[in-house]
Amino acid sequence: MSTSAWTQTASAQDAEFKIDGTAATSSSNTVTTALQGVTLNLTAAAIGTPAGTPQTLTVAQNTASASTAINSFVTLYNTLVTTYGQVGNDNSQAASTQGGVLSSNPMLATIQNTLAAIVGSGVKNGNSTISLGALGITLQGQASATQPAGSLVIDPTKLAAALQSNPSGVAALFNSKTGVAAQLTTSLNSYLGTGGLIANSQSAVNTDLKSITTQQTALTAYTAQLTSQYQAQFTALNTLMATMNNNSQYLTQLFGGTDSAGALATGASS
Amino acid sequence: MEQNSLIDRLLELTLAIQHAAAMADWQEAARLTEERTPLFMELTPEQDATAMEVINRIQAIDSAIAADAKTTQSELQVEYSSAMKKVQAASKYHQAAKF
Repeated sequence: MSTSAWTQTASAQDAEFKIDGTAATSSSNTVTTALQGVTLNLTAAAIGTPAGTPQTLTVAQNTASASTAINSFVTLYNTLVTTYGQVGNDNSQAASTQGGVLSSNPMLATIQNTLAAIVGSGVKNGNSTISLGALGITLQGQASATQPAGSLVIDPTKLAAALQSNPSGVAALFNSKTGVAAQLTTSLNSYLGTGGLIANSQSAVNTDLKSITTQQTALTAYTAQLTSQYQAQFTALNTLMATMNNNSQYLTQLFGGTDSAGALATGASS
Repeated sequence: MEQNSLIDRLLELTLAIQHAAAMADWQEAARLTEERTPLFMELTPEQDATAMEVINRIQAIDSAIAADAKTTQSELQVEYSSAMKKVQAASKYHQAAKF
């Protein structure tokens, strides 16, 4: 090799490799086209020593996004449970004795029970049934410091394991048509829609409120009438008593009372 | 007005007041009383025994009516305050129903 300028002694060649016995080449050591969704970095460290030693490639599920989605589902469901507690019967550990405005409302109980039943039930996955319990998601029975009764609790280890080992089960459980979340959506839509449980209940309450307002107006009118009638009586009685008192005093002066002759009478007769 | 017919008119009005009071028509009784007052002013101090008897009768009727009016007034006051308490209770019920 000369010391002046460098000269090419051999041209660069495509990387050659076999995947499960099938030969392939690549102009780059970063191979993205051989396996869809998998990038092979053919570095010296990756291919092993001596070059050409077979390497084992393990492809695992990316469970992070599924885990995030499931966690947010649980968080949202728990927000709903907390809201039940605010408007209905307080189901937190620090439960106050006084319930919310809807504590004895059958509508809230129906919604609560129906949604809880959906969350507690399983979804068909082939011949078997899978439930949230299989993913390490369980119902909080007794209220704890952080979770109200009836809320969902995630065991992250079990969830991660289920996502790895049973992706089809998870897919069935959260199927966009028959899954738990889809059932909840269908159920909620029926409550919230026109003619739904909430709308009907609202219209009944509004009718009641209107009736109460009418009754209040009637009561106010009645009160005014009552007061004016009594006032008229009181005025008449006061006038009568004052006038009679004046008349009596005048007659006593004129003719004298039981014991004395009237001043005017005495004056007139003398 | 001649004294005898004045006294007749005073008795007539007094009996009318008595009747109105008996019917608990206190507004009419008060009106008649006010109508009667100026007639008393026309009475002269010299009256014969018959006239004095009538005047004494008028005074006796008046004091009975006044006593009745006083009783009625306190009874009505009790009634009125009880009625207003009931109205307030009903009103509170309405307010509670709105929650």
